[in-house]
Parts: sequence; C-alpha cells; structure tokens
Amino acid sequence: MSNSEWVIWTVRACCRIRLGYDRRAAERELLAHLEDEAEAIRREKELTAYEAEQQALAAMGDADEVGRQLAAVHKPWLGYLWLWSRRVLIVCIAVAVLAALGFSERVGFDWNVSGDNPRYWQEKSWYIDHTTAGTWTELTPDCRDESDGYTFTVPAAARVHNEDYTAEYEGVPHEVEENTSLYVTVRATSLLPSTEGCAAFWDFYAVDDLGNHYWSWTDPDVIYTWQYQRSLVGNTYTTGLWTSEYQAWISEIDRSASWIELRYDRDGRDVRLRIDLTGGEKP
Amino acid sequence: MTEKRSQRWRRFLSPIASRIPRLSRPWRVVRNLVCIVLGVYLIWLLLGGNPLTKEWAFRREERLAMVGPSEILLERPQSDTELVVGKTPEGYFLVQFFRQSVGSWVTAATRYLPRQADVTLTAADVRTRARFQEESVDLLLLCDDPAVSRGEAELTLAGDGSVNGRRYDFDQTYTVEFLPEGERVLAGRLQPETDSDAGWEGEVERFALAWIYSMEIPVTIRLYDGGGALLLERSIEYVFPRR
Repeated sequence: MSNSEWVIWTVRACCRIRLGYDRRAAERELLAHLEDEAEAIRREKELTAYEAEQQALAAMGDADEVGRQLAAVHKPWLGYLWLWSRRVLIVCIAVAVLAALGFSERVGFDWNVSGDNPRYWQEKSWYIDHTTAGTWTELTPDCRDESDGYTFTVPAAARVHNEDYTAEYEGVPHEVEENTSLYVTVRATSLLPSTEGCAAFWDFYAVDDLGNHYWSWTDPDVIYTWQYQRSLVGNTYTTGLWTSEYQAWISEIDRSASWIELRYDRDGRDVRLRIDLTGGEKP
Repeated sequence: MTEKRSQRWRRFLSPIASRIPRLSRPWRVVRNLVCIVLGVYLIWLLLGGNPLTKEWAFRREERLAMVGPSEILLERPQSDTELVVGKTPEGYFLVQFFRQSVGSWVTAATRYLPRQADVTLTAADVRTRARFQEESVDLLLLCDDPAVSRGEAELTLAGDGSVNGRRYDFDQTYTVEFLPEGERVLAGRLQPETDSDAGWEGEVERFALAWIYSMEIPVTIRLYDGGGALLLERSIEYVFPRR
C-alpha cells in the first residue's frame, strides 16, 4: 500500500472530480502511476524506497493544479447519466423478469412437462382429456391461411366416433345417439407481439363438402334455434407473445363428409382452413 | 464476505466481459437508454399492453377481431364506461371501454353488428353481464341517410313465467324516441312506465326491460326527416348480439 503522503496528494488532486465513481477511479490511477514512477526512479538512480517515493511525488507537481486539470476533463453530467441509466436498466430487467413470470403463469406455460414436446402435449391434451369414450382418429391437417397479420394453422385435429351410449348429466341418465365429433386446435401466429389472443376465433364457422353448415357458437341463430350440436364451439387462449390458440369442437359432424373447412368472412376477409377427414391414424 | 463475493462475481464475469467491446461512456449511455426503452416496452407488453389512447385501443380491438377498418361515428360516455361506435365495410363495430382516471384504456366489451339494409338497432351498453332487472335501456339507431333527423321505435316486450314462485304475464309495447347523437347515429332511452317503488308491477316491468339482452324482441322502426315526413318504416326481430 502507498504511503500516506501519496494518499493525501491524490485525494487533494481528485477532490474536484464531482462524480464519486470517477473520483475513486482517478485516485486509483494516480496511485498506480506514482508506484510505477517510484519503482523506475529507484532502479534508475539506486535510491532508497523512501527517497524514490518522495521524488516521484515531487515529479507529479502541485496537487491543486493537477486537480483543476482533472476537473476540466471530467464531465459530471455524463457520468451521472451513465450511472443512473445503469441503475434504471437494472430495475427494468428485474421488473421485466417478474412480468415475464406473471405472463407465463397467465398463459399457462407448463415448465414441468418432461419428455414429450410440451407444445405437442398442450395442443392435444385438452381434447384427449375432454372425452374418454369413442373411437379416436388422429387427423393430419395440412392447411394454412393468412389475414390481418395473422397466420392460421391447424396443428392438431381428431375425429371421434361414438356408438349409442348412456350419459349421465347432473345425476340423470340420458341416451346419446351414435355420432361423430371433430376436435381441432387452430393456431394464430401474429406478426406483432401481443398478450391478447386473436378474438376473431369466436366467429369462425365451418362447412363441409356435403353442404352442411356448422355455425359459430356466437351466432344468434345458434342461441335461438338450439343448434349447439352443429356449431363450432371452443375456447381461445394466448399461448405466447406471438401465438394464440382456439381449442374447438363440433359435437356432431356428418360422418359421410370427406372434409370440413373452418371459415371466417367478416368485412371482406376470407380465411379458409380445410381439414381432410379421410385417413388419419388411431392413436 | 461481501467483498469476496463481489470478487468472485467479477472473476466469473470477466471472461465474458472481456469479449464485449469496451464502449466509450457516451456510447454506454446510449446503449443503456436504448435497452431501457426496449425494457419498458417489454414490461408494458407483458403486463397486458393496454393502449394509451382511445383511438389506439379501438384500432387494436379491430385488429384482434379482424374487422374494419372502421370510420368512428360516435364516442359516448356511459356511467363508468365509454362506448365507441365504428362503421366497418359491412357492419358496425362497437367497443366499450372502462373509463380509467389515468393511464390506459381497458376494454369492457366488443360487439360486431352486421349492417341491416336501412337501419341497424342496438343496445348501447354492450357489456356481457348478468341482467336480471334494468332501470332503463339506452338504444342506438345507426343509419346512413343524412336526411334522418328523428327516429322512433316500437318495442313489444312479452313473456310469462314466475319469479320466486309468483307468476307474471307481461305484455307491453313501448315507444322510444331517438334524436341525433354523433354522426349518423340516433340515441333513445327505453324507460319503465311504473315507478321504482310500484311494488310487484314495477319489479316485473324492470325484469322485462332486461329481456332486450336475452330474447328476440319485435321492433318497428320509423325514421323521419326534419319536416316530420316519414322516410322509412321497418319491422325487425331484434337480437342482442352475442359478440
């Protein structure tokens, strides 16, 4: 450690530097410089350490004069701006991390899913959990369409055939006739990040190749004609900053149909997602 | 202890930091400010991304619902909310916002109404909520004809049933007068004819007013010009849109 005279000199030389961070850095730099200078003098002139230190200090000149020059070079406002920007940035990062955790909780990211691809698991689990009865056929829809900055795809779909069975609703058994249902997961990928999912999903409806019409469940015709079995019903979820999904089903589709097309056509849009109902494989 | 920890931390960071080119202080300030702006944007986005102006909020709802672009016809304060009515190429888009004392605009509800041939009727409060009884119902008539200066609607509320074991059989026709409010929009209010303290009758009537939001209501609409001449008369079955 340097001697106390050096410390006094450097403190005096740097006291005009207003920013503490810069002041301490300048003090460290001056002390390092003094040490190097004293070492050089000691070797060159073969003096004692004390004499070399004294000469090195004398060579530095007047502390007040050096202090004035240092103060003129250092811009305190830029230093303060830098320090404060750094602090604000740290707070920003901390808040962003908390907000991201909150967001991931809201959209239901499951960090604990192990093994299979979690996205795959989410795409299908909702309808696999939805019903256990019936004969399942996993379809392989290969369709996409674009509108309003969204790209629509169908990452998963399944057809379920149910034989006649007796279901129980609120403790009361009732007969359910043989029927075929369709389950689909429609994904909207947005160009812009958003925490709000695509609201247009609610107004998607469907048609099939036999001319059958499956209403959007928000259509007043469904409400006043009780066409719930023949309507596209579902829930929408935000699944990421760029993606949202519509997990939807039609309880009763025409089993002779070879394709079903999901459509949206408000205000001149023309979104069409055709799902091939033939083929597929049993899970 | 603290110093040791900070030294360890520096030792851990120094190989990484040494690879990053060292910037001068002004550039470090610029870099930090850019990162702060991006960070604030990310935080705003992750916290819901609520728009800061009404127009922005309306356009965002339009984009999410994939309708429009709309021409805004009316901005209407309604109790603790504000309704914005836009005319889209094939219909009307209504967005109701919660009025915040400061800051962002939060959407309470949106509704899309396919445009009827000459005139479109809607309830002005488009929020989805349990409506058992209504003290009054604000209605809007949307029509393109600039000659229209007054409107009238005859609504028939009819139904029977029972509440708390007490039977009712209600059938009444109301006439609502509509006056211009905003661009090509007329507003009127359906009010009960009984006082709120009229007992059972008053209760049933307020119960019937809420049917506007849940039943098909037969309505006859008449539109008049400035001289009082009838421009249009049309009968419709009004249905409160689900979305």
